[in-house]
Amino acid sequence: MNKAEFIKGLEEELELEITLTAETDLKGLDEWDSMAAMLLIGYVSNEFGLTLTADDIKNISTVQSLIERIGVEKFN
Amino acid sequence: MLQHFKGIHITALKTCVPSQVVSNAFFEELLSPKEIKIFEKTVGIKNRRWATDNITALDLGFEAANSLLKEHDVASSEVECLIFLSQTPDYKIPFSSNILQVKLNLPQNVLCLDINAGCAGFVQGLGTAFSIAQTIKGKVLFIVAETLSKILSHKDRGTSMLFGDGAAAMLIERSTDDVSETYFQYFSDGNNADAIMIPDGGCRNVVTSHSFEIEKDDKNNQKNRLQLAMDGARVLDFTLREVAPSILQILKQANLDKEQIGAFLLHQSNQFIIKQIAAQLGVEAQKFPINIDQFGNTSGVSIPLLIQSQAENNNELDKLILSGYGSGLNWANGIISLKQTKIYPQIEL
Repeated sequence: MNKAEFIKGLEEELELEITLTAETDLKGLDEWDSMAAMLLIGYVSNEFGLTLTADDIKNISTVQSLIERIGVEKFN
Repeated sequence: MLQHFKGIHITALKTCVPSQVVSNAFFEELLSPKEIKIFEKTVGIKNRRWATDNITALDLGFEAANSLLKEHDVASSEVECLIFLSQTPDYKIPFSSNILQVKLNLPQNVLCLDINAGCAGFVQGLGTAFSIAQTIKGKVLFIVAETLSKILSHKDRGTSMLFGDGAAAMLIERSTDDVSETYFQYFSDGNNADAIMIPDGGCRNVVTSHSFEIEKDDKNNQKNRLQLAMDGARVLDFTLREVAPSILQILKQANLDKEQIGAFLLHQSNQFIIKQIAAQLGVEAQKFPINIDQFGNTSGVSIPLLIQSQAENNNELDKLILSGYGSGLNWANGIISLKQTKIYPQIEL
């Protein structure tokens, strides 16, 4: 999965009405809440087998920071 | 702590839920249709049962126990111990099992014991019941009952949609079959005691006029200090971190492989969590039955309600993993067979 596919998939998973980019601040989204966090954790877990923790969620800001947490090398 | 039993069984089980069904439509002032859709997709709750004003956990527990004793043809003198486990008892004093002793026509020479425990409570209470049953000739009547609907703020998105009411009663006793083995294992993390709590109303923070003042958070969730408060993110993190490794631990202690387990009966707090734990364990999701869509999170009652659903659907009841996790924060697991357990039809009150 490349970065663009990941971002598009995340946009669909969170059912966003805006277009997500690497620079989007996830916590600033109208849709951001604990359920969005669950959708995010589930999506990352399904795609990368990585379970994000509450600390990870706390530390993530932009989509790019999420990608860096997952590991840039995992995106081709 | 690890417990290991041989030849102790749950011989009969009965569940009772309130007849009032509350669907997610009830919360449309709190959540938009899109938010409700995402709630159903993640948490998985569609309906829950809520007791009406005049029905308490003790009433639900009484109905389950009274029917169980009648249907299973148990003489009151056979019951030597009555355990009532709940976080929503009728009174602070006296404790509920004593009230139930007379309502159930049990003799006076019975040990009445209340346990205040949350979502891990079913396993905690069952371990206590097994421990007592091992030392007596008669039966232990174990009742777990909750009416969490009565301690929720309907203006708090973090709690109001999550919880449901219900009760289960079961008989635990020694049998001549010495082959069947049961394991229980318990864990506690008191550092997170405040992650799920009602701040006022106990002796630490007695009730004052301040207790009734509405507190708002940055998302406009509103509740007072006598209603349930939950730090959802902290609880989610705890369950995703602790439960799967602890299940692997009890399997190792019992010298069993996860492939030998018939079904994993996890506390029904959140469908997302259950699926995550299944993935962490590397076990197919079909082995993790879910009925949270019907009953919501009923705290310690959720696993017995799941056992009931398994029986109704003629599903696996041999070599079961039980796993409860929640307030405390506490978590507890069991390995048990319910092949010989008589599971009676669910009733409503």
